[in-house]
Amino acid sequence: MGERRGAGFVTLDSGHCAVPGQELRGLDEQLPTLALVGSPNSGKTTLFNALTGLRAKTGNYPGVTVTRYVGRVAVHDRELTLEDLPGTYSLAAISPDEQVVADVLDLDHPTLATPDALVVTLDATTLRRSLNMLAQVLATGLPVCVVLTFTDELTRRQGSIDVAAFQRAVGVPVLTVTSGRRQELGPLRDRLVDWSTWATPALPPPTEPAEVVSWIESVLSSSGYVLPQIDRRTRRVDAVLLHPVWGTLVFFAAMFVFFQIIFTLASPVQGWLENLFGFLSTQVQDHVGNRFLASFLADGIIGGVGGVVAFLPQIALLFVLISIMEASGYMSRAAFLMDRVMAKAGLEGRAFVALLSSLACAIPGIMATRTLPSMRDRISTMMGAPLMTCSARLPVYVLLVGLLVSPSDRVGPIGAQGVIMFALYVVGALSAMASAWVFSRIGRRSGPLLPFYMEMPPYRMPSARSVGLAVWDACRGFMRKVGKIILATTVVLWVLLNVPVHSNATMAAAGVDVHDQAAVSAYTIDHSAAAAVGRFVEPVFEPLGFDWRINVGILASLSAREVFVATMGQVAAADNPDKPAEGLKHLTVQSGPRAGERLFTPAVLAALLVFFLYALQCASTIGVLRRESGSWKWPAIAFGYMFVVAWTMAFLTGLVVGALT
Amino acid sequence: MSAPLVPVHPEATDAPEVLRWVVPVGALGFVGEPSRVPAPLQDLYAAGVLAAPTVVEPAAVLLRIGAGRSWRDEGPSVRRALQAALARPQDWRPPADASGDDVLRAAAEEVLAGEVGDFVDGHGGVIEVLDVADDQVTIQLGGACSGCPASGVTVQSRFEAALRRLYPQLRGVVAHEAPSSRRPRLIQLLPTRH
Amino acid sequence: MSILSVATAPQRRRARRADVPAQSVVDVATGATLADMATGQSARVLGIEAPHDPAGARRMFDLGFVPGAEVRMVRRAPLADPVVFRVAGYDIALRREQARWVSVAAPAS
Repeated sequence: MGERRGAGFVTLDSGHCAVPGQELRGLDEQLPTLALVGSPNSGKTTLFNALTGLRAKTGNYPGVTVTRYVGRVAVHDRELTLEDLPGTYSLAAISPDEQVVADVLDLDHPTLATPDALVVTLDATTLRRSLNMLAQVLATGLPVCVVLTFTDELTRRQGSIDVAAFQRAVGVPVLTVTSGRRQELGPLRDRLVDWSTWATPALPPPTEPAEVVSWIESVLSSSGYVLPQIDRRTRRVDAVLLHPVWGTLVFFAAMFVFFQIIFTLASPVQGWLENLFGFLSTQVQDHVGNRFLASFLADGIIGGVGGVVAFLPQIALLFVLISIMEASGYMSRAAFLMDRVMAKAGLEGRAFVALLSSLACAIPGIMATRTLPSMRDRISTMMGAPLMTCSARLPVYVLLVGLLVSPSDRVGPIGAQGVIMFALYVVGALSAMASAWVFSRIGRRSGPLLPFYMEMPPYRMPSARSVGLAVWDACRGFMRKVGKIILATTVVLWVLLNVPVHSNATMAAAGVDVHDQAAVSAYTIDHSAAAAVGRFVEPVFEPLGFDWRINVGILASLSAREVFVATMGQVAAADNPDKPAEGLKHLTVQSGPRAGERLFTPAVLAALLVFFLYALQCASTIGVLRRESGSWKWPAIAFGYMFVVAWTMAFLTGLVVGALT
Repeated sequence: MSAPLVPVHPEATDAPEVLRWVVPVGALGFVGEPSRVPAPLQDLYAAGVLAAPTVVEPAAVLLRIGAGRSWRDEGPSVRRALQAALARPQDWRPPADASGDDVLRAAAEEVLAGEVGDFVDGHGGVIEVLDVADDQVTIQLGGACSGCPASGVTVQSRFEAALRRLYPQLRGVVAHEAPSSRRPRLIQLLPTRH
Repeated sequence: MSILSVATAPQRRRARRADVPAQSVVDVATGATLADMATGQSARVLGIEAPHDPAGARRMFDLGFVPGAEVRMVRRAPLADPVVFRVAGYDIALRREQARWVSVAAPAS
């Protein structure tokens, strides 16, 4: 155990090998490391948060997209490292998260360091099931301390347990924790630093199924364990919330509120942030002399950073809601009601929340797939989520639908504009489900289906600290990883749209009034690198009826869909680039068989609408896909397949509409 | 499927070679060193895995690991043997000098040695078993317990509850109060033979 | 991995990992499964049989569906699937497919 295994590994006297620390800065291999093990819903993470608070650093376990939470616990003058392992029901792992736990507890694992001791959280109200995992953990031979959680709930529900007898029966220290409040944790903290003095069982419990059942029975019996009654409160609430009629109604109402909150509550904050960045941008433009540099800083950098920050209100809000839903126990009820519908798309109930969130924006929606235990389900949902009609598509839809039909057009008694918008939403949702279904079928070949099971915990009060930490963690991760990608894309696109730079003389010679801002930007765009690209890809988009100017708009909107509107406005030299409809109406095709005709015919408009419905026009989405799936492979696949589908559907739509008009 | 295994689990004792295997209450119906044990355990004795003595308690069996052996290695096979043996209670034989009240007496002693005894001591009281006969136990409360009606009831009910857990067919516990003038006597632990 | 003999404390033991195969929990009993239970009905688990998914069978065991365990069917989802069962003191939702793996009999009297 004394070899050097290469850069990054350090061996300590006890034969304990440390882990490469690229992801986890500040991990001090000299401190004792304890790990928290427990099933989901056992209060493990609440305990971790209470013990470590904001000192938790996150990273990833090597080779998998499972987040790693490590924190410091200080007790008097001593410190130790505490790791919050993913929740698991068993060391016989069936998912990557659970495999991480099995690997960390595996003394022979080549890369993952084994902790010095383990803290096992057992929910006192589900002890009969939880003891099974305790037996497996005890079998590893590592020092173990048991923390019995929810003992107050056990008593409230007429259950009971003799903790001293239980401690004798399992042979390891047992402590109880009720609320996880800081003051209460004193005895536990003291116990943690004394991990080397923990009693270990004389004989580890059996792991063979029939034997472990008899062990559990014996332990519970000698501990005087009385099973708690069914939680009255939960049963009463579930009688409504899971009622076939009322429950479904309440559910849809709750989802509507959920969605509205994300859509409307976040908007003012987003608006405020956008104003802030707009202000900064203006300041830069006013005070930086060099026009090129000013524009680069203002539109490229500040615009890019602003674009990233603009997502934070939605992400924060989404994670607040999701954390509350999860911690209170409602999430499993929602998933229970939606499971059958989701199963049709090869997904499971929990995917519903991710898809619903994608109606506001695919970024938080894709991040919400973390609630799905199956990696395959996560990927399938991620591949479908961008097809949900996100709020960034709305400005594009509004513009194009406005060009397509007038506000007074009617389909029966309903306004035609509304009908088309609704149809776009519906088609988006159906396409998302279909896409998820396809990917789950493809994924099926890579392994057996994960058996579906979902614990329905009693309703509990979420801990404010845990919710806060979940939000903080999500936002910070987003800023660090995704932010870079969005910023890079914004800068690149800015360069494409603004280079080469033209001097006033050149522009004047071309007949442009250099004092007319709209004309100047139109000229710049017309002669930019992006325009060259737009012209270059004309053959690809020719069958859809798009000309190079629309192509430039599409290219620009790769950074964010709503940019399409402003870019088209600039292309059309519209007086107000944010309301370019008038300018666009008059654009004519410049060359080719349709020269002189109106560019935006109904067929072209319809094709463009459908193109935007399907195409992955969003660098932020690509960034988040990269982060949540762990590699560039999936974002590349998503981009590729969505482009092909978008092109095909746009083409077909153009044909059909062209034939009808 | 065969009948479910008898629930057992080991607990540590003061001596590392002895483990207290907790078994279901009333599994064997006697206490002390059995004069005969079923074959699965016999085999372990013969192989030197287990060493004498084996002591049966109201809700446990004390087993000693053989010299030079370890519980870690032999534990699983001991467990299986014990479970197999407990599945055949008829193949156990009580000690030669066993009498009907032994189990109840042992159970009462265990209760006194456990939390109830600690509770009484902690309150400055004294509790002693006067008589064990016919599924009934007579106790005497002294020290701080005598003269205090509340404590008497508490102690008696706790004692009875704990005793009933170890001896379900208990008919009742009769409590006398020691006259307060008497000096507290030491807790009587040895069985009185009449 | 093998069980090493005892050395001096505080050395760590190597221990066998929990076994995965479902053979030891299988009890081939033709008849009712969890999927056949009616709302409010109680039953006793006989065994788990999932021939194509031993890991899935093991998971059911780890979730508390052990031979002899008491199970109660609590409610069905609006579209008939999944179903909530009460076992080992908690509620768990299973799809019909998983419920079919667990064979049950009338509760022990």
